[in-house]
Amino acid sequence: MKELLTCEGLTKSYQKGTNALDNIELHIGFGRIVGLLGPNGSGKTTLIKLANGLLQPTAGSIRIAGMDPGPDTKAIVSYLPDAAWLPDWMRVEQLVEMFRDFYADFDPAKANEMLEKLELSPKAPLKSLSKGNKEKVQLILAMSRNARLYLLDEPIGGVDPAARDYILNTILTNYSRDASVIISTHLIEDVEPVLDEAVFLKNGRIFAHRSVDELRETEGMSVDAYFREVFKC
Amino acid sequence: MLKKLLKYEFKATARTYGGMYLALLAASVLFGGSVWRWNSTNSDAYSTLVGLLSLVYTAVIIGTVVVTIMTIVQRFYRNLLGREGYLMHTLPVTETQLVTSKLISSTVWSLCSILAACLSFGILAVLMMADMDLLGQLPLMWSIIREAFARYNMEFWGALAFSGVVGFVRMVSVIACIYAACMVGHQFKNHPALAGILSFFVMQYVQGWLEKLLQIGTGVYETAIYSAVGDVGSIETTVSALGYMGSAMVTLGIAVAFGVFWFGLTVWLMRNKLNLE
Repeated sequence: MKELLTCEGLTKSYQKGTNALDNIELHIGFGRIVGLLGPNGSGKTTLIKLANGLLQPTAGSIRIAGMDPGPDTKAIVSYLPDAAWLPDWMRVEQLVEMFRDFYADFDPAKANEMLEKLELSPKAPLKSLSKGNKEKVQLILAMSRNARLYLLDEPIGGVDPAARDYILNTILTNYSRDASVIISTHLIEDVEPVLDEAVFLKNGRIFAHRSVDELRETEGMSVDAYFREVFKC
Repeated sequence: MLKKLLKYEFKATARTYGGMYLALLAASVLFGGSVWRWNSTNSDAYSTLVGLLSLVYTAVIIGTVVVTIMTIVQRFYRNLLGREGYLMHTLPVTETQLVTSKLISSTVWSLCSILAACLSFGILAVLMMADMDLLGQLPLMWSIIREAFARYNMEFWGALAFSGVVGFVRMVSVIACIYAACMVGHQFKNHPALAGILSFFVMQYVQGWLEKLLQIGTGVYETAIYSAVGDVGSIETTVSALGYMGSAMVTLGIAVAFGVFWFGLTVWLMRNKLNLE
């Protein structure tokens, strides 16, 4: 199998006549870190939700490792949504236990190590944590899995710059050669050093899908500068 | 995976229900205790307290019913169709397992609520009769029970036990209908809650209408029970004449069929029409 994520004619409409995603053709291989880049409303979150089976396509298909989204793909996909999604009443250690219970690829030792480094108490109830610390907990849980595909929706948006570096380093060191990471973000400058590929979404369509090195060479500018050029208001 | 889902489902709901049952038992002890003191002292001060605690007890009983129903709806909606749905729907479990875990826990908690209410009535009764020689009354109570058993034949007791089974299956079927209504409401983007509530009543109306169409509506069913209890002389005649067991069997069959249908509809909608926007 050559592809980890395959989208063919993928279309999603929330309202008749308006496509959040329009006829997307996307092929992502193994061992890649891919930036999913685009302005607000370009369809980044919709694409990630479709890959997780949280939305149903209006037309076309999306497949992960050759499978339709379902329990088998969920066992190999690690997802980090862009919103608070964990039950507030649980303590951090209970969440670690829950992830260990459900995901065979979850590594609790790795999670506890990251919690310690980011000075997060396992005993703390989630509802007692600040917004930034909640996001750190969510990211730690997602990155403590040895998944085949990581789908990270705005993973560094709500955390401080110091934690951002740690998180990006974690993403870099955690994924293996047979896994891929798709990061949706506005903070292009921060993630650019770790990216292999960049997918630019504009009005629900793929505007460009290019290797980051090739883009820098051809355009003579950084991905961040290219993004600002393409999407300038 | 179902076991694991149930473990977290019960953990998530235990505090709500546990707290509610404690409040219910505390209210029954306080109310029963105040009545007991009032009986023994005949003080005016206690009469005011008894009046106040009777209101509290009534409110807690009504609260138990409301909280049980609200928790059934809220757990399904918030956990599977709200933000927590991002977690639940990315666990490597099937939709059938997700809905089954909710259905089992809601059924267990509903039964516990009924038991807690019965227990509170029992506590109330014992405290209200605390001045009587209850131990002395036990042989009399036992003889009444034995007489009742001797008076009615096995057909009656079988019918009574069977009506319990029918009631249980109907309860599970209604919970499954609540879930199906939530999923139907989820299809309406603008007013999902309103659409869900309306769907529930429409679904229940259709179910009731089909039951009546088959001439085994709740009217016949309840008439049989009330006749049986009210007219002790003709109990066996009533049971036999109305063909109670036969009609109850069909009622049970329909409750099972609808329960399975609502469950299947919920799972199908969740698998094919889920849109967590």
